[in-house]
Amino acid sequence: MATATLPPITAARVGTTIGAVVEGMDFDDITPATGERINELILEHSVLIFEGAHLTCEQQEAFARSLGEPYIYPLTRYTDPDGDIWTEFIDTSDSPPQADSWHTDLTWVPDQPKFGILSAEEVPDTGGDTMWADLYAAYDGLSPVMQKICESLNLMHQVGRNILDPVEQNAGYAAAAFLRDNYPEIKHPLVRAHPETGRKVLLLAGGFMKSVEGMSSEESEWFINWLRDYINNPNFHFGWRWRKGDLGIWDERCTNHRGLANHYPQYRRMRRCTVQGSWQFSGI
Amino acid sequence: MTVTTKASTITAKQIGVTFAAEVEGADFGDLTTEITDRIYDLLLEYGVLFFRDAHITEEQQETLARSFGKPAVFPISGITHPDREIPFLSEITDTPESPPDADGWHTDITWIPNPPKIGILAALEIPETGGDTLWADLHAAYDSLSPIMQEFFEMLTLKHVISDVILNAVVRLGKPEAVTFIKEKFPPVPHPLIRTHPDTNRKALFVAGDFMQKVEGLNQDESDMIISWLHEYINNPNFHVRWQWQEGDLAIWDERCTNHRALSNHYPQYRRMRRCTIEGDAPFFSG
Repeated sequence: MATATLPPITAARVGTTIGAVVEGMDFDDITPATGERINELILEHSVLIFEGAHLTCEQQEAFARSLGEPYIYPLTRYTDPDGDIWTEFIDTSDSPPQADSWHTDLTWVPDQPKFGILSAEEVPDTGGDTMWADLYAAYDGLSPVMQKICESLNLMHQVGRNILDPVEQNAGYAAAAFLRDNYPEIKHPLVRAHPETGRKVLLLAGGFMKSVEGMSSEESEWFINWLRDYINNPNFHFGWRWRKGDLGIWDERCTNHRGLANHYPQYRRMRRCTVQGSWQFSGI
Repeated sequence: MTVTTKASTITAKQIGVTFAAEVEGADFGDLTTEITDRIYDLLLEYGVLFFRDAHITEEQQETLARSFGKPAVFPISGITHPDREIPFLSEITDTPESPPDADGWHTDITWIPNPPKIGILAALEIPETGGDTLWADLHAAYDSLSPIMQEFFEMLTLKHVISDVILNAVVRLGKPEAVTFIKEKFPPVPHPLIRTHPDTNRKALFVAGDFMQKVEGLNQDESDMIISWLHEYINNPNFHVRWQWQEGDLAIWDERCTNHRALSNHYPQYRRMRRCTIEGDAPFFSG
């Protein structure tokens, strides 16, 4: 068995359907076998937490590379042609947190990243947890009739005001226009099979969900509002209260997440990179 | 053909955008088959028919009803009104003590397997103002859905059940002990959400206000979302026609493709109507 040769890294489930805390990981000795084992654990738990990992940029990048190629964000492609893989989230009293709504990273690009990796650099005393929602559980939680209906629907996704407004504010009008012009709306089936696990996912994406293909705007608005509300069910959630040095990694293909804003105006600094991945979902 | 018959003098003028007509030239004193056939044809065409100043008697209303089929006895009238002389004719009387209670969208008695197909309402005494009746066109409601939404709804079956409004009326009539019996005798019945009209083959969105209990096979929250949307959707005034009653007016409507509601804004004024319905067949959907 291939697994027998993998490093003795173990994960203990802390959430109900997703979310595990990992033990036995040596970030100073990352090998392809490490990546293979971590990938296996991600597929099992969707979200992994490494407590007190205190990674340097180099370690975080090496970790990301053990799982695939780092992904360069669309806005970075605009501002930095050399392609920085890092995004820093610095929340201050002047720069309030901006990720406090359910989303998965970038469903509006054709080359979505598959993993997000977040390092807690500076954390507030209280608040600022990150929440993940389990999109497998969201699909499984639908009645069979509703599953069938959702399987018949396609959603149009597009970069929304929730991204464009802060981009326009922070990086200027041209940057926002770059995103809008280069990333036209993109179609995803509402239900897809995860490319590696084969399990069905209700592919929700908060403000990126623009319309239901073929529906009138009233119908579409109603249905998307319902989807947005549906994912608020705490039965689907796993939350992590960050301590300094914690590292989180999650599968973008089967989770939504949101960074709670309730630490505002306290300081919080997180460092993120993401990993490229094929979203070539198999049919359902 | 130049032969003039009584039926040929009956003319209809559409008054709603998508449905409903005001009919002239019908003689209810001499209801031949020719005339009632003509009225039924117009009903299929317009969904709702209004006759000003018809002033029909009980006997005429009965004759008219029988021309369309078997007059329907309200399923619980044996409990609520055991002394009714003609069991299928009911008077709806609004008074300060008995307020109007039909001011919500519905089609009649969908909580039995074979709901009535036609309703006939005669205005006996009407208030100075208020108490209009509205009808909603369920064909237009279906036609206005996007094709995706039509397909979505074609997959759904709704359970219909007797409403609290009716059960409360039973209590008000002094028969609280009958409520349990009624609930047991009339369990929820399933009807397709999209219904094919048996005579015209047109599709209708078969909503029925508070009689809609649950979408079959769906979780409660899914069902709630759909039913509350249906309630909201049928409120669109683009689907409606409104009739301001005068004494003696008569309305005939097709229960299979309309909803109606009787406004209650005349309360506490007096209003008296005479209604009967005609037995129908089980609603079905054929794609």
